[in-house]
Amino acid sequence: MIKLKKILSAGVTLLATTMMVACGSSNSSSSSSSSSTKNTDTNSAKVTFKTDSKKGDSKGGDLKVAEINDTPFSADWLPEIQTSAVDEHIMRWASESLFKTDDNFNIQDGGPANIKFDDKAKTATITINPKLKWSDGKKVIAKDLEYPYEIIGNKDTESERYNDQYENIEGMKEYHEGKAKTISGITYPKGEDGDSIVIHFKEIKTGMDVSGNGWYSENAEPYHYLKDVAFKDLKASKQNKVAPLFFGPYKVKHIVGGQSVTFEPNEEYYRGKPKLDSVTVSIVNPATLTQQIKAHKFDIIQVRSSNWKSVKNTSGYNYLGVKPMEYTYLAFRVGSLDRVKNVNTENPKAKMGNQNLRQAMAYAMNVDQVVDKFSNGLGYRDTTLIPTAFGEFHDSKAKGFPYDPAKAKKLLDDAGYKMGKDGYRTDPKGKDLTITFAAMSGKPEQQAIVNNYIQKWKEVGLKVKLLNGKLTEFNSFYDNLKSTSQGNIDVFMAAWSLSSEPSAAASMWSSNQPMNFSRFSSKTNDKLIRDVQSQASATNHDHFVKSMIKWQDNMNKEAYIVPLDRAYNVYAVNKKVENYSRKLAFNDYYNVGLSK
Amino acid sequence: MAEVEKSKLENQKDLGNEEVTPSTLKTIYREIIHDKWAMVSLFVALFIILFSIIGSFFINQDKLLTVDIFNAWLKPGQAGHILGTENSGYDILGFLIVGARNSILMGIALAILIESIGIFVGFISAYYGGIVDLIIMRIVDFFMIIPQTMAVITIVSIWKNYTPVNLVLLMAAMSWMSTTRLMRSLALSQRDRDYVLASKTSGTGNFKIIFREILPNISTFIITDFTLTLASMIGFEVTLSYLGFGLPDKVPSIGTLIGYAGDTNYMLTYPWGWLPALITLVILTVSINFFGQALRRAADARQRTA
Repeated sequence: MIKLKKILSAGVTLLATTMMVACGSSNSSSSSSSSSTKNTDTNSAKVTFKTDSKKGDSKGGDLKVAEINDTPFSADWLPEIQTSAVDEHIMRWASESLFKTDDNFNIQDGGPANIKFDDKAKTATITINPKLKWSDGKKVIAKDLEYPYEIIGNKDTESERYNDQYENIEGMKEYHEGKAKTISGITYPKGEDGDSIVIHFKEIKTGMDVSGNGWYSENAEPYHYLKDVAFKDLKASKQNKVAPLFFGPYKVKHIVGGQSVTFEPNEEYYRGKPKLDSVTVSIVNPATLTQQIKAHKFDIIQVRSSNWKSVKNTSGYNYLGVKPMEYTYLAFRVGSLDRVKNVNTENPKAKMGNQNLRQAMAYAMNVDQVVDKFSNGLGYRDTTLIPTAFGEFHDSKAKGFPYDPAKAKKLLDDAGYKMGKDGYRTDPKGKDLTITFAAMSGKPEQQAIVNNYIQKWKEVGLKVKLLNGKLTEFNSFYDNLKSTSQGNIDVFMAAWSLSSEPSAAASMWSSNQPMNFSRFSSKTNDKLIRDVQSQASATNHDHFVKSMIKWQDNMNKEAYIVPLDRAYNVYAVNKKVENYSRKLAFNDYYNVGLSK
Repeated sequence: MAEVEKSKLENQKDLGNEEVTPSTLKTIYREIIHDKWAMVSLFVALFIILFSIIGSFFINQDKLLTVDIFNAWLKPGQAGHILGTENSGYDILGFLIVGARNSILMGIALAILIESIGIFVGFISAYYGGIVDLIIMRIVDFFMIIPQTMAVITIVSIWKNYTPVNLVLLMAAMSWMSTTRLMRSLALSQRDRDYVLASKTSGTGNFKIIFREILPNISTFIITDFTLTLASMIGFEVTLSYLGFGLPDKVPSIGTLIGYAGDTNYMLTYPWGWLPALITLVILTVSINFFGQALRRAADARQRTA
């Protein structure tokens, strides 16, 4: 859960929503929380949910878990390579993060490893729990802690995770560029077989003591198991796709390609033997969701907001809910990525390079109405790129982009987009303007929503066409966006799961982030992000909050990324399931049981 | 055997003054008049086809395809929508009429294409025989082992911005084989008849023999096969649209409406979304098939009831 880092959200299950629990967040972990439908700023309780199932001590049983997605999983199980949230959700039963956290994601001692920072020496020391073993029985050693950095840093891996945050580690950049064979900033006080590593940072940064901060890896990788695989072959290797090795409570028993993963207990687990006999996580098509719930096919299954009405009275289930942890956004593709330097370069001639045009498109969208119509009271419009769950870090004064076609038309008129005779505007140079729009397929109402937006844009005079005339399937959608060239997409609607640390939610949009699929590069934005990450923010909380709010305001002004909507994440959990929780920081999968 | 002879004789007696061998059209007419179900089916099918084709002229397609999510899933009768509205707020009655027209026209276009290919290729194969036949039949075999629906879905999902015409061609390319085989076997049965041999001896050109002499002799079979192909092609198009790989978005098809039954949530909550389309489709294909069966009987003397 904690390692939910900037993973591409499966826009599929709930193309909406982001949850992101901040360190300072108020009640994200309390047993009930509330959602509002119309106004994000007043949390008027319309629906409330518990987050925890009952307690118990049952042993044995086979737990069936559904993962809602309309396409097969991509089966990238190594966290360093993983980009799909679906893969991450499935592997949570086996892949555990290195650090234990409290409910607010603050890192605590007592997990698989402990971390200690030395502000003066600018180092972090990670010490492995002596009981920790890989599921094949080998002890976790210092080299295993270091290996994730090699995987992420090596150019041949082409990991989406590598970004400028990692370059804050001494020697990481040199290693990434191939100038050094090892990462000089990571040392082994007791040798590679010892129980600790020391990471030397260039600077101690904001939020380093919060899980999900992105400044260092929160995973270990079994060096003895992976060392024979060349970095460039890692993504396609059996170690990644078929038989990954973890130290978490369960281990992979077998995988049915794209469909399901069966887990069995990991006898070597450091907190004792897990309770269940097996766990099977299967991909379930959202179209069959209502029936799957009514037929009680699964013990844990997500409920999408569009299905909420028809399943909420099904007996035998408890409904557990959490505040949204993902968000959907509209982004404008304006540049390309230099893979070697890791820099996004904005194309000065990009079709969507005009700020007025971008703002106009955002104002022309009737997000509130769409949410009201389709979320059954579980969703609402976002006003900034920092969700309300971040508490004070969310700019509560921001209005975002409410539906305002008059304003959209004025913005376009001002920028010289003249209305032609055919009811469509031309660009300021008088040429025809056709905007290519990419959106993911998935939920059944998606086509209606997309057509609705296209029509709203038409009403302000913008000709928008769907890429290839249809919705794009999840995997090829992201393949398209990940490409380094600008491509033929002008606008796209995508979704993110965020990590739990607020500054990471901002820095993901800097110009040197490969995951900034908009490929925009704005000096103001980069400067504001540097301020968010600065020493001043790290030491002065008020400065941190202020810099975050400034960043949000600027993002709304520049409108490269437009926040759309979020919805409550609701799960139907069989009443027999014990010790399970939808708390964002929940990590006690070993303790989950099933009563008879 | 004797009984058959007897009944034939009786038949001839009934015919009275009419000629002993009635023309093809007359046989068909008699067969249909004789079978009340075929009559009813013919009228029902014609009604649906004409109603949707003529009806669609009175529907403003731009207006019909205006997304209006606030009026999504209105119940039948609400706000002037006789059959209610669907997911995007489209009027279901209008969508159904235009969708039925599109599906039927595609079916007709496909049936014509498939019959043409089938007749041409099948006749050439049968008439020339030998190596030509061998090669053509192996090509047919090759196409037959390709799973039809899967192949179309795969191609459509990588085809950018395809049009309905593209789709018709693609579907025809995957469905011409069985008709070709039928035409080949029919032509084979005629190839060595005396009239063909006589024509050949008197120096008539091959193509003339094939299309002017053999073709009219098996025209009943062609009409029959056309009708049955029509029904199955409408079904094929609807299947594709149902699965989301048929007509492009914004081109209505019955299958799009029936597709709402694919999501159990919609199926149970909004039955008016898919039920009218399903009923229309069932009635249409069943009646075309009934009519086609009557034609088949007319084409085969042994099956005749009239």
